[in-house]
Amino acid sequence: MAIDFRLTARQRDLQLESRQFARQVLSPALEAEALPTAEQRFAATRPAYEAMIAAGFLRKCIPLSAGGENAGLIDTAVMVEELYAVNASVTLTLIGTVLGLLPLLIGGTEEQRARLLPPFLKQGGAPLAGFCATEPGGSANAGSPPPGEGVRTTATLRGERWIIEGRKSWVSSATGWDRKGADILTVLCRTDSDAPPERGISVLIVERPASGLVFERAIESLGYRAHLLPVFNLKGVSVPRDHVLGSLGGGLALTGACFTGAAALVGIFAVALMRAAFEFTLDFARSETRGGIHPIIEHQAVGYALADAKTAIEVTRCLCWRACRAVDLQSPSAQELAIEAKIHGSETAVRVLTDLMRVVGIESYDHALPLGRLLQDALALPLFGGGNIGVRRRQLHAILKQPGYDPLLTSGEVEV
Amino acid sequence: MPLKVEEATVIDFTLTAQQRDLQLTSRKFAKEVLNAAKAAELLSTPEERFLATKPTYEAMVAAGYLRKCIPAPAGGENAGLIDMAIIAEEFYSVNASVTLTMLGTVLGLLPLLLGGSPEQCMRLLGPFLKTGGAPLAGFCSSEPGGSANAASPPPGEGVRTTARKEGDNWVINGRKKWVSSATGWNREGANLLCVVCRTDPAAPPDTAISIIAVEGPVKGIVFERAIDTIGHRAHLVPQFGLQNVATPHHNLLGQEGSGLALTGAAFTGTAALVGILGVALMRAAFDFALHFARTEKRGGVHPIKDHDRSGTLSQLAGLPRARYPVAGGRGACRSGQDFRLRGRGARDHRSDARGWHRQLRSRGAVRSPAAGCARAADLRRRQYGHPAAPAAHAVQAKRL
Repeated sequence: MAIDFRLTARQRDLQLESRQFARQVLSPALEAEALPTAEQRFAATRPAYEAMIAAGFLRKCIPLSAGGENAGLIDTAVMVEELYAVNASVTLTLIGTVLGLLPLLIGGTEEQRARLLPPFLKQGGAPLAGFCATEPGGSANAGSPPPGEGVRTTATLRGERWIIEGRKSWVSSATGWDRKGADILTVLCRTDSDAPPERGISVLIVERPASGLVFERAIESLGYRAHLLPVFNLKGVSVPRDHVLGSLGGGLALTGACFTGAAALVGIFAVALMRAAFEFTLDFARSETRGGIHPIIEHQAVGYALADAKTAIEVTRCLCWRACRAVDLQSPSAQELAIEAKIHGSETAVRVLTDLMRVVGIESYDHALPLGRLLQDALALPLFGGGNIGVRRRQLHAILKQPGYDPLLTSGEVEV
Repeated sequence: MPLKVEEATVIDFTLTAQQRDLQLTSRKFAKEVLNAAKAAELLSTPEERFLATKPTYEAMVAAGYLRKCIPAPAGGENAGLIDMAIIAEEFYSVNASVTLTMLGTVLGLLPLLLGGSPEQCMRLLGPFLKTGGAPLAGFCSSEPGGSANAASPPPGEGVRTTARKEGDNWVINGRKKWVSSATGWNREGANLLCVVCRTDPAAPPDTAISIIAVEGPVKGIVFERAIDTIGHRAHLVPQFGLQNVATPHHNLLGQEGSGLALTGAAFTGTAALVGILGVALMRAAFDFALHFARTEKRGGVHPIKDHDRSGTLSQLAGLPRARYPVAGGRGACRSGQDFRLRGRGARDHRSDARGWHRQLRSRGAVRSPAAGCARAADLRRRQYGHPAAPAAHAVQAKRL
C-alpha cells in the first residue's frame, strides 16, 4: 500500500473545509491589500485572522502531542494550499506564527510548552508569534566564524536574566498588532561571544509585553501587501534565565530544524500561487476570444502553455508532499527533499506565473486582474524561508559533499 | 531610411564619436534629472503619479531628446534606430516610467512618420519638433477585449473601433485601452492620436482598416480609467472611449484600408526597442546586485565569496548578449580587458562562469557594468571615473 498519493477521508475533509473557508472569509479580506500603508493593510486583516483562529486553523497547525490537532506536515500542506491560493498575506501571518512557535514545539521543555502555548491553542483572539532570525545586514552567514559577524544580536546574562541587544528584520508579525510585540518572539541571539557559532548561539523566548522592543518601520514589500514585515530593535529586552529553548548554545541547530519543515511548506506556497493563476488563466483562455473567432485556448501556443503550467504544478505538489511526508517520518532524506521542494517550487512558481501572464497578455499587467499580485507574491518564494542562493543551495551543496552521501536514498526508503 | 553601409564597417559594433557623446550626455541627463523623478511613483493614484512626472518630461523635451527620436528628414535629429537604442538604454535604466512616456509618444508618431504625406508631417509634427512644452502622442491600437486578433476575418471581431465619413470628416467611435499617455495630461486627449479603426465595414481586414490622425484636445474622448499597473507606476495607460470624435478627412495616414500593414511597420522598430528596454532593466539590476555583492558580507567574512552566488552573477553578466541582436553584432577584436570580458559573455556563459566570476571579483573592482557598451578608447577614463577600489577588495584580489 505504500507509494499512495490519495488523501485520507479526514485529509479530504480538511481540504474541502479549508477551501470553503478561504472562499468565504479570505477572499473578501483581499481588499485590505489596497490600503495605502503597510501597517494599515496589516491591521485591516485582523478580522480575517481572528476568523481563522476561531475556525481552528492555528490549532490544526500545532501537533497533537502539544495539544493541537495537527497529525503531520502533510495535513498542514493540504490546508495551507487552499488558504494561500486565495489570500497569501493572511495565510502567511498564520504560518509565520506557526514558525514562531516551532522552536518552542521542537526545542521547548514540557513546562515551557504548557506555559506558553495555551493562547495559541484557544479558538479565539488574534495571537501572533515570530521567529526572529533575520537581521538587518543579512543572515545568510549566521553560522560564520570570526571575523564574520554571523548573528549580531547578543544576549548577556546579568544575574538571573538575559539582556538582549540587537536588531531584526523581515520577521513576520514580530511587532504585533500595535507595535508592542507579538505574543511570543523566539529570538536567535549570541549567548556566548567567545564560543564558536555552533555553541555560542541560542534561541530565547521573549513574551509580550517586552519593554525595550522598538518598532523601526514596516517594510514596503513587493508582495504580501497585507502582511507585516517589520524592522525592529531589541534594546535591553530582559528575559528570565530559563527562557532558553533547547540547549544553551544549540541555537543554530534548532534554527536548522525549524526551517526544514518550513522549506517544504514554501514549496506548497508555490503550488498554491501557481494553482490560483492557472485557474484564472484557464478560465480566461476558455472564455476570451480577444477579437478572434475561437476562444484563445483553441490556439496551440495557448493550450501548450497551459499544459506546461499544469504539469509544473503537479510535479511541484508531488515533490512537496513527498518532502512533507519525509519530514513527518523523520526520514534520512527529509532535509534534502524539503530543500529541493523549496528551491524547485519557488523558482518554478516565478516562471509559471510569468508564462501564464504571457498567455493573458497585457491585461495581466493590470492590478484589476489577480496575476500581477500572484507574481508579486511568488517573487518572494526564492528569497524567504532561507534564500535559494544564500542558504538553500548551500545546504544542498553541503549534503552532496558529505562522504557517505547516497543519491539513491530518496527513492529507496521502505515502509515500516 | 537605410543607412549607407561601407565595406569597412560591416559587422562593426563600435559607437561613432557622436553616438558615444549621445550615450554620455543621455547618461548624465538620466542621472541628474530622471533619477530624482522616481519619487512620483510613490503617489497614490495612477493619474497623480503621471502628472507628477510632467516637469521631468518637459525637461526631457527641452533638452531635445524627443527631437533626437524624430528622423532628420522629418525635421528631427535622429539618424537611426541605433541612436534611439542608445538613448533608451540610458534613460530606461534609470526611470522606466517617464522614458516610456517619451517612447510612447514616438510610437504615436510612427504611423505619421512612416505613412504620412509630407503635407501631413509638416502640419502635424510641429509641436513635437519644438524643444518646449510636454507634447504627447499615442498609437491607439489595443482595445478592451484584446487585439491579438486584430486581423481576424469574420465572425471574429478584429478591430472594433469604426470610422465613418461624414462630410469632410471621419467620425470615430469605439474604445481603446493600454495606449500610453493617450488621454493626455488632463483627460482631454494627447496632442496627436493615431487611431487604428475600421473604415470599411464590409471589406476583408487587409483592406478595411486604416489609421487616422486625431489632433487633441478633441471632443468625444471619454476617459474611463487609468489602469493601476504592476510596473511603470508613473506612466499613464488609460482606458477610454472615442464617441463621435471628428477629424478631417485628410488626416487618414497612408492609403485607406492599409492600416494593418502600417501598424505592422510601426511595431517592427518598436520590437527591437523593447529588447533594449530589457537590457536597460537588467543592466540597472546588475549594477545594483554587483555593488551589493562586492560590498555586503551578510554576516560572513568576505563579500561575494560563494561559488553559487557568484555563479549567478556570472550568468547574468552574459547580459551583453541580449544587447547584440538588438543593436547588431559585436565588433572586431580589440585589445584590452574589456574585450576579454565580452568574449566570455558571448560564449556559453555556464562553461565560462568561473572565469567570469574571477574577473568580476578581482578586476571588477575597477569595472563599471556599463563598460560593456563603451568604446575601448574610453577605457582609461572609464576606469578612473569609477569609484576607486576599496582597499579590502584590492587585498582580496591579490590573495585570490
